[in-house]
Amino acid sequence: MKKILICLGISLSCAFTIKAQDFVEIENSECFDCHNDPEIQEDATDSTQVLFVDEEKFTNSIHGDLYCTECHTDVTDTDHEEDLAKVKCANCHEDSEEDIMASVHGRLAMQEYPEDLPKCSTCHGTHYIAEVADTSSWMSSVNQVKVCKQCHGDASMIKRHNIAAESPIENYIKDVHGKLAASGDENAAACSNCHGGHKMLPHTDPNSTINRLNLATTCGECHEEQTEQYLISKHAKSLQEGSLDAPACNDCHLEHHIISKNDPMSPTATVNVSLQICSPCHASERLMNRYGLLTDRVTSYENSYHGLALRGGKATVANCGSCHGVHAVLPESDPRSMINPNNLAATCGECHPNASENFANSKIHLIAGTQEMNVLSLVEQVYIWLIFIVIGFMLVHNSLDFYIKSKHIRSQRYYGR
Amino acid sequence: MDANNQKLYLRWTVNERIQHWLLAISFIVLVISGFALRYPDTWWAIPMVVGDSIDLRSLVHRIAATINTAVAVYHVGYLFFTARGRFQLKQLLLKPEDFRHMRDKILQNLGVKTKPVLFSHYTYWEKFEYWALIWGTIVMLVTGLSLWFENIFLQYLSLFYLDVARVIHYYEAILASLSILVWHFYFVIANPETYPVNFSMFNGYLTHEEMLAEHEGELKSILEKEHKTTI
Repeated sequence: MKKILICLGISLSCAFTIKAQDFVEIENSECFDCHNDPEIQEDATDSTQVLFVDEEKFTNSIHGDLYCTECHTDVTDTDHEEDLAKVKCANCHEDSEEDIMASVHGRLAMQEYPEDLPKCSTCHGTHYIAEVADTSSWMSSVNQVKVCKQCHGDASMIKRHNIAAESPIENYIKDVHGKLAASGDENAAACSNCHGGHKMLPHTDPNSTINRLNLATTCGECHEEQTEQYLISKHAKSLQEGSLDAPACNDCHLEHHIISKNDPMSPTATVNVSLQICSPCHASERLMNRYGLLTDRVTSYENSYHGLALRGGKATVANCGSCHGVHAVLPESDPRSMINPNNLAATCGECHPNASENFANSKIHLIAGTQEMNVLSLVEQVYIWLIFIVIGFMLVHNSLDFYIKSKHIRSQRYYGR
Repeated sequence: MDANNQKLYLRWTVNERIQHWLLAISFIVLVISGFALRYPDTWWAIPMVVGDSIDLRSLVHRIAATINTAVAVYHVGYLFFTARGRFQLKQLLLKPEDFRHMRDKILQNLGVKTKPVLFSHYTYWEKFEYWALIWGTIVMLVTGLSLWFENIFLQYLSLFYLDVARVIHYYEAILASLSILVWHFYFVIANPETYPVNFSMFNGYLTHEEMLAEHEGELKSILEKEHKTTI
């Protein structure tokens, strides 16, 4: 019976492993005779050596049905050497090793700091590896950030490898994804959801999940609706056509400090959108000249009734996104655009329900050189001259009167006449 | 007669004084809250900031505008439907002599003419100011209402009209505020013959001396009338 079970075990482990390694079958219970005793840890020669293994926790782990010796292949007898060789996960997980070695982490091995290369156990642990979906897994949404923080929260490590992002871990913990993950939501985006797991590549790599051109796909894994809208936008189109200044998801939402639009500190909050998100590009002479776009849209908005109220902190007033759309920003000429002449009445009607046809016929941004702007400038000029002439006359008239009356009163006071 | 046994001349009834002060207070509040709306980030708008919002100053502006408009409407009724109002309107009507008076007063101040100008119930500067106020109130009311009730106006007018209204409302506000500061405050406060203040808007009366200084024409005709009746 025992033999049959052993045969079954071998054939099973052969079936589940990609490359079975030669090993000696020793029943796990025999190993646990010694290693399930916490006191054995006291015999460790250094702090990294793990001698105690909790039998129950191991049996419940994802590798629980393997023989100890399948990983610790150099154990051929219960009476084994004290110093065991490092476990080679790649004996089974060959693809993972390939991916890691091709990743930004793997490159470390070939560069100046091979000792900084994270090992499988750095991220996954050793004897108690659980499924990622399990909240006890090191790689689950709730725990992952703590694992990455071991290196990415280490200032000297960041400096050594020239990692540009500002405090990604601290910021992530405070942002929507981090908070959601901490709350135990297994679907919350953890580091690897955006950066990739074993195959993590720098954003400059065209295959990287965080490359500007791939961001929409990465974020779209969860944010389907928004991505669908964004992908039809002028922004997405320009970016795909190679105008790398065109915004990707993170240009508006940021990366590690993504804050809900309901938080007034968020750049995507109603009161901040125009000034913090649209202006930096659309008021930039350098950028707009590069693509032949107008820069005075932003100033004309800021001086408009909407703009003034917004600068005063009124959150119900129209910002750029109210009229142009948020993700599906399209040019006026596109029939799907919110600012297409056929859709303007509906767009304005969102806030101004009684708006007539006249409404849509008006120029929204009053730009220098248009007929409307000329009329407005004329009104301004007339008033400015009127103010100077009228108030100027008053000042002269009253100054003269003041001088004469003062002189008169003074002479009465001092000379009695 | 006052405490010094000097004769007093009725200038403003209680009703008129209440109209003036309601107008004055609402006007000042409109100026402060209005410029706070136009310059949202300015330091003197700080007392009107609740949280991060501009809402308080627009509420204050609209309450003051309502009071101002109510006084204006009441005033029009007062002018036409009360005997005292009709008297005031008659005195306020602009006549060619007002322009002559202004010319002569300037020439007198320049030393070209020496003969003093005799003003009747209202001087030219009071009349000009009154009609400028009427004009300004109409302009501010029409433009202000269209910005307040934009959704009603937009049914009939284009958005461009609101832009024009916004520009006019702003510049007319500057003109009105400066006019009050330079013109009105000079004649009722800074004027050396009046300083520290023309008290008639508090107690309703002008003294004999004040009448002599600014309304000698009216004083003469009053005295003549009294003289006739006593004879």
